[in-house]
Amino acid sequence: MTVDVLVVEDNPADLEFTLRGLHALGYVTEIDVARDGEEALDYLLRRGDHQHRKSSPRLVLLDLKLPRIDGLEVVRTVRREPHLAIVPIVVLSSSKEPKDVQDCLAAGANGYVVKPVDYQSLREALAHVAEYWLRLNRLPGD
Amino acid sequence: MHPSIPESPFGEHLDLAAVLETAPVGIMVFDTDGVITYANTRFADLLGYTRADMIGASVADHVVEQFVGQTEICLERRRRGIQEEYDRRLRRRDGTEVWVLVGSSPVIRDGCVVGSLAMISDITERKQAETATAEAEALYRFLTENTSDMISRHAPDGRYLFVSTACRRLLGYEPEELVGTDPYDLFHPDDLATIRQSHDNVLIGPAVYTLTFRIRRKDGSYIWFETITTSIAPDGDSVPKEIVAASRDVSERIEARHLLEQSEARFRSLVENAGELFAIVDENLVIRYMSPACHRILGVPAEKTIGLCSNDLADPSDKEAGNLLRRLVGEGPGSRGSRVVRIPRPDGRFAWIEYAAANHLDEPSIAGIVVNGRDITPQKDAEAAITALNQQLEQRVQERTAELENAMKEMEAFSYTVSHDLRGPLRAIDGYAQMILEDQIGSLSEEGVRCFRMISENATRMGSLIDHLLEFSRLGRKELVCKPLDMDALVDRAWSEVSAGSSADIQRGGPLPRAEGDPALIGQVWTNLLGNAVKFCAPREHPEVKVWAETVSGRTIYHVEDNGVGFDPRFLNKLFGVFERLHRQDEFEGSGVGLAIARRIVERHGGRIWATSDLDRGARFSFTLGEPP
Repeated sequence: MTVDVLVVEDNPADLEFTLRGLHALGYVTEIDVARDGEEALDYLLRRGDHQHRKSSPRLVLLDLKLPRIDGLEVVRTVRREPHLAIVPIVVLSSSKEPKDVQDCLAAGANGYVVKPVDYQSLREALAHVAEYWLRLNRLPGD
Repeated sequence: MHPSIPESPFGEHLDLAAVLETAPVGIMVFDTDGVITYANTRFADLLGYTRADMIGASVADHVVEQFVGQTEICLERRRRGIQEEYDRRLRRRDGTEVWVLVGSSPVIRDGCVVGSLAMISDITERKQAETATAEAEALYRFLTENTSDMISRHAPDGRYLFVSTACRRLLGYEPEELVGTDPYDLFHPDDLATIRQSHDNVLIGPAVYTLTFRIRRKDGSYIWFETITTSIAPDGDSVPKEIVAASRDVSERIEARHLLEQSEARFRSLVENAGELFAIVDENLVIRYMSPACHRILGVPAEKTIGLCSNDLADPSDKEAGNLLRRLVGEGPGSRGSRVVRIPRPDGRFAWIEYAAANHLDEPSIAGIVVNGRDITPQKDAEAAITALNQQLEQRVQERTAELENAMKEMEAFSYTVSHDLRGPLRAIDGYAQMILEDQIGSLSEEGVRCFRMISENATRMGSLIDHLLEFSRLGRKELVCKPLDMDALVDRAWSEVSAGSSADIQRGGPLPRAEGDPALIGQVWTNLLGNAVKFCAPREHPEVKVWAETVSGRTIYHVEDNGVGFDPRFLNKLFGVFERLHRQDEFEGSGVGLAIARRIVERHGGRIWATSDLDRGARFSFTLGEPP
C-alpha cells in the first residue's frame, strides 16, 4: 500500500495542525510521520526499521528546522539517490528568509511554503499543496 | 797764495832729490818752454819710460792730442805765476792713455818764473767710475721718469728727497710738492704703526722690505700702495744715508682680495653655522672637509671624519651608498645628483640624510665633490610613526569590521530565530483557538467565543508585527542597488497597490523629476506614504491625495499630501519611530513601522524626510533623496 504523505515535523502543534488539515481534505488517508531528519532519511532510504519498506510516499512535507539532520540536508541526501529523484518534496517552514527558499529549491525541493501564523491560512496552504501533488500531478500508473 | 818752494834743497842737495824720487806721486819739473828737466821714477813708470828718456822731452809730447792746446795755455799761466790743478789725459809710451790729476806750480827764482813743478797722480779709475756713475744716473733717471711705479728717495727720517713723476698719476701731486715733505702726513692712521716698524727695520740693515699700506691722495681719497724699500749706506758706513722706495697702486688687488675674503668669510660662516651638512670629498671619495653640523646630525665631531672614505659613514647594509658619488666622479665636472642615505650614529640611532652632490673637481679652489646634506630624520621618524599608526588603524578597522560582521551574523541568526521560532508558538495559539471554535462552538458561551476570537486575532496580529519588524531590520542590511528612477512609474504602481478598495482620488502636480536610487526601496517609500495617506483620509467624504515635486536650492523635494485626519504637531518627533502610533488601534490599523521604514530608506539614500500637519486638517509628508552616490 502506497503511503500518501510523509510528514517530517518535530513541533507537536504544527504536526497536529498539519495532520488535521490533511485529513480534513478527505482524500488523504495514508500518512506517516518522521520526527526528525535522521528518521526521515531512514524512512526514505529504507534503512534500519524501514529496510523492508517497498515504496516511497507520494509526497513529502518537510519542515526545515529539525533536530540532528535539518531539512535542507534531507533534501540534498535524498536527491543523491537516483530512485528517489522524482519523489515530490515540499518544504514547509516558518522562515521567510529568501536564502532559505533559494537553498531548498536549488537542492532539489519541489516547493517551498511559508507556514502562515494563522490557522486558516495554514489549512488553505496545505489544501493547495495536497491538491496539486496528490490529485493534479499524478504520474501515469499511480 | 803761492806756495813757497824752499830754494836750498832744489837741485843742490842729493837728499832732497831722494825725497822727490821716493814721493808717492809722480813729479816732474820743466822749464818755461815746457822742456822736462826732471821726472821721478814713479812718473816715468806711469808713462812707461825711463827717467833718462823723459829728460829733455817736451811736456806736450806726452799729452793726448786734443789737450795740446790747453798745455800751451797752462805753460803761459805758469809763466805768469799761476798755480792750478787740472785733469789731463796723457799718452803712454805704448800708446794707451791715462787720466791724471795735475797740480802744477810755477818755480820762481829771484822773482822770475824759471819753470814749473807738477805733481801727477793717476786718476784713471776715478774717471772710469765717474763715467759709469753718469751712465747709471741717466738710466736711473730714465727709469724713474718712465716707469709706472713711483720711485722715491727718502732721508733717514722719511722726508722725500726725490719723487718720480709717477706721483702725479698715483697721488695727484707734482714731485716738487712732495720733495721735502714728510710722507707720514699722507699715511692712513691705521697703518702708521706698521710703517713705523718697517721704517725702523730698514734703517737697521741693508735689507729689502715690502710693505702694503694706504696713502692719501691729494684729493683726499686713499689708495693702497705696495712699496719695496731698501736703505742705501755709503760704502763701509753702517748708517744709511737714504731710503729708496718703489711704490705701486695695488688698490684693485687689495679690494678684490677684501671682497674675496668677505665672501669667503660669509661662505664660511654660512657653512659653519648652517643646520645643514656640508662636505667636500675628493675623487677617491675621501672626506676633505666636513662642516661642524656633523657633530649634531651624525653625532661625530667633524674633524674625526676628515680622511675617512664617505662610504664608511653609511649604513653597511646600504649596498648602494657610494654609487652616486662614484657616478659623479665618472661623469666628470658639472655632474650632479641627489639621494637619501641612512647613517648610523655612535649612539645606536640612525640619521637619515637627504643630500645633493655636485662635481667641482675642476675648480681649483674646491677640487672635490661638494655634498650638501639635510637631516630628514624627523620626517623619516614621523613617516615611520604614521606607517605604524596606519597599520594599527588598519588592524583596528579590520577588528572592528570583523566585530561588525559578527554582529551582523548574530543579528541574522537572531532574525531567523525570531521569524522561525516565535511564529511557531503563535501559530499554535491561533491554531488551538481555532480548533476550539471549530469543534466545540456549541458548548461555548457567546463570551467564550468572543474571547477565543480575540486570542486568535491577537496571535495573527503579533505575527504581522514580527513580519514588519523583520522587514525593517532587513532594510538596514540590504545593499542599495541604485539606478535612474522613473518616479511617475513608481507612484503609479504604489497607488494601484494601496488604492484598491478605496474611494480616494489622486491628484498629480505634473510629471515628477527623475531621481537616482534603489527602485524596490524607493517604491516601498511611495507605497508606505501613499498607503498612509489613503488610510488617514478614508473617513472623509471626498478623500483626496496630492503628489507633486518642487526644486529648492537645486534639491528636489517630493510631497504627498492628504485631506485626512492629520496629527497633532506636538507628537511630530514620534511620527517616524518604530512601532510609534499616533492613533488608537481601533481608529486606524497599522503596526507603526511604515514611516520608520520610509525614513530608513530615505536616510540610506542620503536624503531627509519630514512631515507637517495640523490635527484634523490633513498631513503633508515630504522627502528628498541625496546626491547620486
